[in-house]
Amino acid sequence: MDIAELKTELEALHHASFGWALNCCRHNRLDAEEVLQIVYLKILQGKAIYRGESQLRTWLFAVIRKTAVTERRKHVLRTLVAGSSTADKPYSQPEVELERSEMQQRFQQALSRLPARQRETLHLVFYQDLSLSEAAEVMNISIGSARRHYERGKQKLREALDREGVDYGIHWRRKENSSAVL
Amino acid sequence: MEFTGDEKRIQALFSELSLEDLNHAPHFEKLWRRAEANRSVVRRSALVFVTAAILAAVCLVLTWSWYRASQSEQAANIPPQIVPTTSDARVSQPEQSLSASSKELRTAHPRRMVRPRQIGNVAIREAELLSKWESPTSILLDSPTVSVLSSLPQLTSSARDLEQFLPKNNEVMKESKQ
Repeated sequence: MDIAELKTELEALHHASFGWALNCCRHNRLDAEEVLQIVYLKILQGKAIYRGESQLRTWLFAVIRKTAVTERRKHVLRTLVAGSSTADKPYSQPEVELERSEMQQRFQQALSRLPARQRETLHLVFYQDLSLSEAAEVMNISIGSARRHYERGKQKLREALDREGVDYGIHWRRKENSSAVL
Repeated sequence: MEFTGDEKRIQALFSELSLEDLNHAPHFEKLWRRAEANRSVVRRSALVFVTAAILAAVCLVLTWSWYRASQSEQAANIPPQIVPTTSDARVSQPEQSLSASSKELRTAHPRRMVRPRQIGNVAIREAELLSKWESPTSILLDSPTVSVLSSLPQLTSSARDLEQFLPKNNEVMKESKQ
């Protein structure tokens, strides 16, 4: 696949890639943008080569995940060297927080409390509509592990949502209605 | 995947999240162009780094070869060592020759690795000079009786000569009276 062809494919996957990058960067938009840019740079430099052994999307998501992990390590190291203690704090952006609905905020809080693997599995399955085997491929784990993360994550999220009192969202109702119309 | 019950609820929340993310996603072209710009910067910096490394290596080699050449020139210009042969020279010149040889040693220090045999010869010569060295004031310590004290009468000398070592008769009488 030449670079022009790859660019077209990447453009088609851009929104999904950004969503996945956001998940890998704990919903920090600036970090997600930076990670995605680094991924594109890696592709341009030939450091990340798509050989067609898997779907382009799973390959791209795996590259994004790996890059995000590397960047996060660098960030933690920089923070340690600088002597600040913000390394493990979840990112918060007040202007973004205001835009979100209360229910969505609660949902994201519940999601952020899940272990990383469980959160990633749930995101890949529910957000990106990937199968468990594809999610396992992206996360570089066995399908059995992916299934375990999925089940446990789902259970924990359900409990957290019940505790928080999060119900079906406005968008969900809207979506339900629109699909009913269609 | 087919979702049921709570799974549908979770999926609804995720789809709302995806809609929200969609509104804030940056343009693909913007990120792609930035990545392309960064690639050229990385390439340029890599080129600069490689050039600097090559230049540094060349400078290092040149300096080393110049150092080697200067060392060999110095080794070739060592003056011949003058070893004093007369006793006067031995008395008057040892400090000069010692200082000269020590200077030579000092200058020859870096050559140690280059010419070990030559350095060995210098050391032997210096040791020889040191063993033959005499103090200039040693003459003052000599006394006229040194020859008498340091010599014994020989059995082959005549009886008259031997008499001078015997006590006189008067002296023997005096001693006996006392």
